[in-house]
Amino acid sequence: MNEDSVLVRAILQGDEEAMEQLVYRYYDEIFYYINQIGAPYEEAKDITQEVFISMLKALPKYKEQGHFKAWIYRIAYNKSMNHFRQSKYVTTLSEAHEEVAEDDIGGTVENQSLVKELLDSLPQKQSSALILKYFHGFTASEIAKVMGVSLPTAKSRIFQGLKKLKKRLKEDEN
Amino acid sequence: MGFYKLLFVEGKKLIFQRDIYIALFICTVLFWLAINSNPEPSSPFQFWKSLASVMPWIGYWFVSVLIVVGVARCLPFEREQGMEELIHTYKKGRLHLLVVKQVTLLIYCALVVFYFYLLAIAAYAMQYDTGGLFAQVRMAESPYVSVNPSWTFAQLLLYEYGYLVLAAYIFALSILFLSFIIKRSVFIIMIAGGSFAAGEIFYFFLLRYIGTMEISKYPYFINRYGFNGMLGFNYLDSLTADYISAIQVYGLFAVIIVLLFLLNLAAKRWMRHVALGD
Amino acid sequence: MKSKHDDEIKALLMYKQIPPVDEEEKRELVHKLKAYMPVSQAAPSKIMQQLIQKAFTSIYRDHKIELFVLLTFLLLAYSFMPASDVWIVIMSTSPIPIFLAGWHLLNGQSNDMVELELTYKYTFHQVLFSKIIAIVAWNLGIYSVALLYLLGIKNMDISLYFFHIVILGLTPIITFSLALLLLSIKYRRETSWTVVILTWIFFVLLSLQTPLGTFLIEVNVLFYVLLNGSLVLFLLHRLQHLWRTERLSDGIL
Repeated sequence: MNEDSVLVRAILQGDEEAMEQLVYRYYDEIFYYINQIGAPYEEAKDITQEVFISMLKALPKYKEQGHFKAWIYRIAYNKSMNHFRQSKYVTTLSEAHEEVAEDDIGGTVENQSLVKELLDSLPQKQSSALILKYFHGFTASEIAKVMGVSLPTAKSRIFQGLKKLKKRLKEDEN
Repeated sequence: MGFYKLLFVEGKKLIFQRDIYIALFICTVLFWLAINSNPEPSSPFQFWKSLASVMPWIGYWFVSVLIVVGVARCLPFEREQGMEELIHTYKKGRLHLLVVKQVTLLIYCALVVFYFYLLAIAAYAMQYDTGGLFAQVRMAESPYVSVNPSWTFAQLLLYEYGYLVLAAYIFALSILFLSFIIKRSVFIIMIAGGSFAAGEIFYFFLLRYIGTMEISKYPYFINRYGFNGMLGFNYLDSLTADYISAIQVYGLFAVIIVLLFLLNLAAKRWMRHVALGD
Repeated sequence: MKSKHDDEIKALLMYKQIPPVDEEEKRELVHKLKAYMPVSQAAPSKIMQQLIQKAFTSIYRDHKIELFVLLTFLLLAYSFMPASDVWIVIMSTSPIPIFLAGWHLLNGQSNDMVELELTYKYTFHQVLFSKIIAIVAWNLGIYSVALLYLLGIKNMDISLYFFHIVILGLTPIITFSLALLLLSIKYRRETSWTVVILTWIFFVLLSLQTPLGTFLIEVNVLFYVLLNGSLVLFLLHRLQHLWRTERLSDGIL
C-alpha cells in the first residue's frame, strides 16, 4: 500500500493531520501545474484551493486503485479547464509566468523564456501533455487518465507537441 | 415592447411549459388508444361521421385537460419565477400585458383544438375511406350534433372547430379569472381540472344510477349548460337546437367571451387598487 | 532516427523553475479544509437499509390518518362495487397511495430544498431513493390488504381471472412509481404530478365510457406480465443509478 492510500484512509477516518500532510505533499506541484497550463499566479492560488476542497468532498467516493496522484491532477486539470471556459479567455503561458519571470535571476532567464515561448506556440492540449510529462514526470497512461482521454490520444498529443517544437527549433536555426 | 413582440414573448412563455408536454404526451396516447380500441365497421361517409362525433364524444376531455394545464400558469408564471417586481415596472401597464395574455390564450386554444382534430383525422383516415368532404350531412348524421342537414361535412367540421375553439376559450378565460383568486398554479389545476372531471364523473353516475329521480333534473341542467356541456357540444344537440340555432350559439359565445375578457381586465384593475390601498 | 533536436528539446523541457509558493496560503487552506473533512460512514448496504426503514416509518408517522382513510375508502369501494366493474375499480384505485405520497414528495421538493438536503449527512439522491422504495412498498402493502379483503368478501377464487386482475392493478402502480422517480429527478414540480393525476382520472373515465376499457381487459395477461416485468427492470435500473449518482458532477469522479 503506498503512502497516499494510507493518508487517504486516515482522512476518511477523520484524521486532520493526515489531511494536512496530503496538502503539504501536493500543494506545490498542483499549484505549479495550474500556473503552467495558463492560470495567472493569483488565480492559480484560488484554483488550487478549489482543487483541494473538491478532492476532500469527493474522497468518500474515490475508488482506491493506487492512482491518487493522477486523480488529483485530473481534478486540477478539470477545474482549470472549467475556469478557463468561464473566464472566456485563456491566459497565455507567457502572461501566466510574467509575474514570476520578473523575479528570475541571471542565467535562468534565457532558458525559462525559451521554454515559455516554445510551449506558448503549441495548442493547449499538447502543451498540457508535455508539461505533465516533462515537468511532472507522468507516464503516457497517467497523462491519459489525468486528461480523461485514451492512451493513443495522450501519446499522440505528446508526439505532435514534440514534433512541432522540433520544427520551431529548426526554423529558429535557419 | 410592441403588441406583437409581447404576444410572441407570452406565446413563448406558454409553450415552454414542460407540464403541457407531459399532458400532451399522455393525452395523445389515450386519445389514440380510445379511437382505435374498437372501431365501428366501415360504412359510407363513416370517416366524416366519426370525425364530426369524436370531439363531442371524448375529444373535449383532452382539450380541457390541455387548457387547464396551459392556463393554470399563465398568471402565476411571473410570481412563481420571481419576476413580479419586474412586471410592476412594465411601462405600458399590466392591463396591456393581460390583454396580450388573453389573446395568447385564444391562439393556444385554437392550436390545441387543431392538434386533436389532426390526430383524429390521422386515426380515422387509417380506418375509413376519406371521400365525401362536400357531401351533405344528412347522408350520415352524427348522434351528437344537430345542425342544418343540408350543410356539407366541410361546413360542419369548420363550424365544430370554431365552436370548440370558442368554448375552450371561454373555459380558459374562466380559469384565468380563477387565478386572480388562487395564487398557486398547482391549486388552479386541481380546482379547475378537478371540477371539470367531477362534472364528467357526476354525469356518468347520474345517467347510471339516479337519472330517473326527480331531484336529478337540476344538477343535470347545470351539467348540461355548464363548462362540461358547453365543451361537450350540448349547445348543439337536438334538445337545444329547438331553442337556439347553430349561428346564434356563436353569437352567444362571442358575448360571453367579451364579458369574461372585460371581467378579467376589471379584476386586474381592482386588484391593483386593492394592492395600492385605494 | 533520433535528431539532434530531440535531446535539446527534452533538456529544455526538463528545465523547471517553481514559482514561489506562499506558505501562509497552505496554512489557511488546511484550516479551511477542516470544515470539509469526510464524516465516516457505514457500509452502503447498511445506510440503504437504515434510510429505507426510516422513510417507511416516517410515512406511517406523518400520514397515518390519510393511510387509514385511504384504506377504509378502498375497502368500502371493494365492498360495494358492481361485479361487472371489479377490474376497473381495482385498476383505478390501486395507484392512489402513490398519487398521494407523490404529491407530498414533490410538494416539499423545491430546488431550495434540494440545496439544503445536499448539505445533510446523506445525499439528496440517497434520500430520494429510500423515499421512493418506501412509497412503493406502502402502495404494494395497501394493495395486498385490499386484495385479501376482496378474496374474503367476494369469495373470489384464486383463478386466472383473479390473477389477471391482480396483474392489471399492478400495472399502474409500477408505471406511476417509475413516473414519480423520473419526475422527482428531472422536474421536481408538483404541477407535473397533478397533471399526471388529472390525466389518470380521464383515463378511468375513458375506460368506463368507451370501448377502451373492454379492449384493455381483453389483452392477453401475458402482455401485462411482460410489460410489468420490463417496467420493474427499468425501475430497478433507474433506482440503482440513482443510488450511485455522486454528489459532485464536475467530471472528477
